[in-house]
Amino acid sequence: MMTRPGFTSDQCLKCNICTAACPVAAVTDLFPGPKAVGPQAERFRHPELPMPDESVSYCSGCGTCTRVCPHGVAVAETNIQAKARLVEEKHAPLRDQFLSRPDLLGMFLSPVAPLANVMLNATSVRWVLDKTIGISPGAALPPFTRVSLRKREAARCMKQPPDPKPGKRRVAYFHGCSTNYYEPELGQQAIAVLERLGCQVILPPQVCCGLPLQSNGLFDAAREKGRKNVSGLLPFAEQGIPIVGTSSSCMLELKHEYHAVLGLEGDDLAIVSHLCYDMFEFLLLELNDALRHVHLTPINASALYHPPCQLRNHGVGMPALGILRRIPGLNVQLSDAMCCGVAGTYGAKSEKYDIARAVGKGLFDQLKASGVDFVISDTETCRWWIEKHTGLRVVHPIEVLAGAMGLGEFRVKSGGY
Amino acid sequence: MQNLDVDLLVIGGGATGMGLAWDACLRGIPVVLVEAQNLAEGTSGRYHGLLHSGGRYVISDPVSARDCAAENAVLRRIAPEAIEDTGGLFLALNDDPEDYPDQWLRGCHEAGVPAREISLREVLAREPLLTHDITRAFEVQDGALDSFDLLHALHLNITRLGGMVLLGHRVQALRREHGHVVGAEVLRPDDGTIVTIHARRTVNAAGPWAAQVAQMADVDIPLALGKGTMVAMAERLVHTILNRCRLPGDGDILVPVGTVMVLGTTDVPVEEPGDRSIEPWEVDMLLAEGAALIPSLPDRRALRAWAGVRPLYRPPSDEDETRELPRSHVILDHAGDGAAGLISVFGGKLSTFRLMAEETLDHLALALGNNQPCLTTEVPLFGDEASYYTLPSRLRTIEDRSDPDKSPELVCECELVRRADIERVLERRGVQELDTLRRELRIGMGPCQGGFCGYRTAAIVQETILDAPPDGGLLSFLQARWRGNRPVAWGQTLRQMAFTRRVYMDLFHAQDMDGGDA
Amino acid sequence: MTKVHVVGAGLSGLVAAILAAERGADVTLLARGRGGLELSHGCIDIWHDGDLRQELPSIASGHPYRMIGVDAIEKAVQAFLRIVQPSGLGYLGEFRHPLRLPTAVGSLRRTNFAPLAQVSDDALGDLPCLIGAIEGFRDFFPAMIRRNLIENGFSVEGIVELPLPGHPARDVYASDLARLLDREEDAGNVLNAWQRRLAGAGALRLLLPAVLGLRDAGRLHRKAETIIGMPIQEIPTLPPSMPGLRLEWVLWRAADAAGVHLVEGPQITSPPDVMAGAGRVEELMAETAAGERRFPADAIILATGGILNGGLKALQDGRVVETVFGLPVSGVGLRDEWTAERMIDRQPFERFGVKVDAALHPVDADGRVLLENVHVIGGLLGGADRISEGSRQGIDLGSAYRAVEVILG
Repeated sequence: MMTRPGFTSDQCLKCNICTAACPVAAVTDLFPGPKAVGPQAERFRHPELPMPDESVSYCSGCGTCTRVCPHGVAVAETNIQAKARLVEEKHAPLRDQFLSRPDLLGMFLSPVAPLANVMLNATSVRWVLDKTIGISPGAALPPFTRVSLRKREAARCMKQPPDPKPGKRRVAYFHGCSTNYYEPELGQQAIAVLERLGCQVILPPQVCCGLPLQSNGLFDAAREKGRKNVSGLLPFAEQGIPIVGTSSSCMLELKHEYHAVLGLEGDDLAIVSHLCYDMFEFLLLELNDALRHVHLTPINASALYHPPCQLRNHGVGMPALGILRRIPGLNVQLSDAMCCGVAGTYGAKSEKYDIARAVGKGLFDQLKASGVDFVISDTETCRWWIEKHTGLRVVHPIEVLAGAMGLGEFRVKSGGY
Repeated sequence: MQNLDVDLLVIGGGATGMGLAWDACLRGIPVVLVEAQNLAEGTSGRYHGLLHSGGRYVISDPVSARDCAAENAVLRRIAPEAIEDTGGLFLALNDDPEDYPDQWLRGCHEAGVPAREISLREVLAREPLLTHDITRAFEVQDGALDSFDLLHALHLNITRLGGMVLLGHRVQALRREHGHVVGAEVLRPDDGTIVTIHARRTVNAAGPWAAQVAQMADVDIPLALGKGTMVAMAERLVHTILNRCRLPGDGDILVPVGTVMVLGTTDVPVEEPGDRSIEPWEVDMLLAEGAALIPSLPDRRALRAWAGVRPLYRPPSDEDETRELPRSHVILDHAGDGAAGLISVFGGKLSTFRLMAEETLDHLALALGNNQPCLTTEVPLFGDEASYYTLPSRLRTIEDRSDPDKSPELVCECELVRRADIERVLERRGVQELDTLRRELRIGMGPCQGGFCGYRTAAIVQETILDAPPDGGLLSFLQARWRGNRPVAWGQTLRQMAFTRRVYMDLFHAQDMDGGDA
Repeated sequence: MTKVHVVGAGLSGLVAAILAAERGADVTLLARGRGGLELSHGCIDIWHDGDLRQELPSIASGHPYRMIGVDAIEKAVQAFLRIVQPSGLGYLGEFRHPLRLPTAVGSLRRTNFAPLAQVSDDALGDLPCLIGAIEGFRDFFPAMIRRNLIENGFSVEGIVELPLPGHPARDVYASDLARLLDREEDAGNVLNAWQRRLAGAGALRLLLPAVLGLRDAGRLHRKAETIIGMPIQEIPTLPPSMPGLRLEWVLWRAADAAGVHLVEGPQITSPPDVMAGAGRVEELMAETAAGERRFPADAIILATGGILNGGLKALQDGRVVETVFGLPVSGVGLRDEWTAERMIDRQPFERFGVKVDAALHPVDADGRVLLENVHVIGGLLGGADRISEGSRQGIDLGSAYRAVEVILG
């Protein structure tokens, strides 16, 4: 993860630490493990000959392998690139073309949200989707919002950084597709928290981060998104304005994967990437003093915090955990599990669903046995997936913090999803 | 089997000797070959893997170049399975003599070496890790040749045709009758008895040991020993063979061989045929020369180093420098040296082994009363359906899920060697040593250098072979790997060595086991 | 509150972080990847040959044990045992008399403290052994183990084939079996099948590869012994070794429970001019996903390991560098002398490391402290032949304890 792209496979000592940590290898024998399909198989792949192996397609892209590797082998990046080669040779199925474009889905279906949501939740419709294009009935497809975040916060949408207001620190918020089309309230809470802590929040020009396209092997399209985002965010980065996001998967894409997986390069990208932050990383690094001066009202409940794989891969630890533990009355346990299983679009696919579910089983069981009131996780696909499989409410840490800061009502229990 | 009576005795189990035995079999000449150690123990097993296009010698040794070009085509036809069709590039860099490439191209044309100039854009698209410092680039028909596969195929064919190959049989003396050499006495490895071989003609194809063999008939041969060191990089950084377009020098060949990339080589005059010493300057020089072609090379992992001794012909003009000696082969009939019946063959390249054999047997045919034509240009070594080796082949085999309930049971994960492959070899040969398994199957040749497969393989040997040592040969196997790692013991390779120690000394406490005469 | 940054999450780093947090410091643990513990046998090696307290005066003056002192080592081990006690792994053993445990090649390994699963309930160790060959598991070789254990004086009754449900379509590692057995239902099926296979075997001790679970391994081991009705002795096989992973998991959770901030992923470095500066480190740099982030640091404990685990890096040009601060590395001779000719002999490179004073500050050749707020512990310490001495974990624990003692009093 914290490595340069390109050739690192020869650093592999074959120690199998990655295999022992891999959440997918733990539950299925269709996947030989990240080392086997990564640095090991790479030695036998030739750039001019067809890919000799397919089992790498079971890699979920969670990135655990790279993170635990003691030798700096970019195992996950190698595997993601191998998967993309397979896609190039065999072409992505229609389903993957859909699943990898949440921005388009949002753009077309959000205006007809009520109808779209009813349809997507209808058992019959899901059965058809399963049998035709291979979206599993178990997939957690969230409801669309009618009014996107950008529409709600139109006044903040700007192409160029505004002049700073006196005493305020400018911050650009990268919301991503999920906040824009599915969870705009979350975005508004994030904005409210930042403003309360002395920031002037702008919504810069942005398109889908491109991670779903990348995960599904559609690298050219993903690179297009990358270039567009870099050019949209550059005017802000050039003025030293931090780019903060609530989706740890989007932000990892911007911070790291544009370069390490997609191979995008250049000073513009470097400037933008370096100024990207996970929300709680930013709070801890830059707004900690302001935060310590804010009164936090008690939330008397117990919760379990599940740090998503992508968040761990940021390499900044679990900043939300420390901050949430400051809230009086709130008992926050740390999840035992490595990965919840969904891995972005992986868990939505009919042929991968059972594996994804098996990966997450340990977490689901832990949650059911724990008796916690709710669950906290930073990535949207993890939240929707855990909620679907446990019936517990799963929230982003910013929602909890906003509630404790009095910036909105934080309901501990809800009707579930 | 204390006495053998044949027409031809071949001494030496390298490519030359095996080629001779095979050609003899095809001509119907009864033959026995004796090899003191193992197949490819000598020079044939310790080279850089290059199937020469001939391009390297067009200026410095045009005879050799012509032979290589012709044999290149023949070997591709008869032994494609031992060859990867990588192609080769000759690259002139900014610092190289500007007039050499055109001169070289003319030399190729004259020697019958196919060569084609290509654009820099094409060459960089093909090999993205190459330096941009290239001025001219040419494509040739180099290939990567696996000498073990070749020698094993020869062995199989010879045996099938009724020839005899005696491994581990060391020549104790040449038999002389009235000043003629009429065979040899060899030592059997298992019981120490002597086998007496009667042969009408004896060919000394003992490579670097040829002088010692000739001495047994009181003959001096003009043999010069040039030791060459090679370094294997842990992974293929290029998929095409790279040559510098300048007069041949040290370290100017990079060969992708199987899953590694070999940097070669040096040329150091030595006295001992078995000299395998490696000096730090040799390794550093090879890496520096490689870096001139692949700038990122210093960041990459050097896996191991080894050395082999070339048996070169030193013509009477007597040079100390072995680099300048002709690479073309020489056939000496010692009838004029008071040892009629003995022929010595040495020099040449592995790529021209077949030609060396053909010429030697043509010379001997009359004396042996044989007028069969040479068939080695036409008879395939691997069967009629054979095709080139390709890099992905082993992985494709492992990934075959036609039997979904069967796991591949990989013993060597780095080189994808299965338990079934090992059992097959153990069955066939009654093999005792892990080293034989290593040569045949490439166990322990990958990045872990025996760290994992050593344990598994030794245990399989220990439980399968009746007289196996208690450690299954584990310690000496690991020691052999250790030896090859030492010259490049820094960076990841030193870490690998530390890892091996951690597992076998710390976790397994193998150091007290019996069987380690390491 | 003192802020302590521990760099490296091997045994020494984890224990130092826990001890410091228990003493009230604000501790952050930074780890580049996993390593040390996952490659270990999960045991505590202190000294293979007799009583350390008696041997100490004859140990070379530069040896870490001389810097740390036997008292600190004993207290460190006691602290370790206390920390892992709730885990149920059941560490037992003795400071003065090492245990002798069977290995995966059938030889005997000495260690001072081991988890109960590797020792088994057969306290006198005089029951004859039965070696379990788990169907489809390729990293355990009973025939070789039997042959060599018998040579080493064990009584081995035989080898028994133990079935595994289903036929995995790929090769199975120890971690696969362990994670399978972590699942309650699967463990039940497997153990019952083994019980049926072993019924009537008699009063024997079962030797198995170390695959009995990862998360709650102590409990699973006892459950297995109850169901099967025999003492079970686990043998660690090829890495990653389950006993090492179990211990790592226990320590990781203990660190979180003690309030340590766990940061996994970044490579830690320091500003390039740190050694030329005022003799103090003001900030550390983390190479995160977004590139370099800097943060201020008070007390720093450097637990990055030696050559194997990346704390030291050996270069082609003959230098050996310490990878965070560029501290001088002692014991480094010529490049072609870094390794001994024979693999089984003592290796010069295993003695490479940073020289320290009694407070574990890094010092130069004259003994002057180089960085006053940095302490070096664990595998990064030079001057020891850990394999032949059997001192690896003793050095890890002793130095961790000592460093925390120095920082927090």
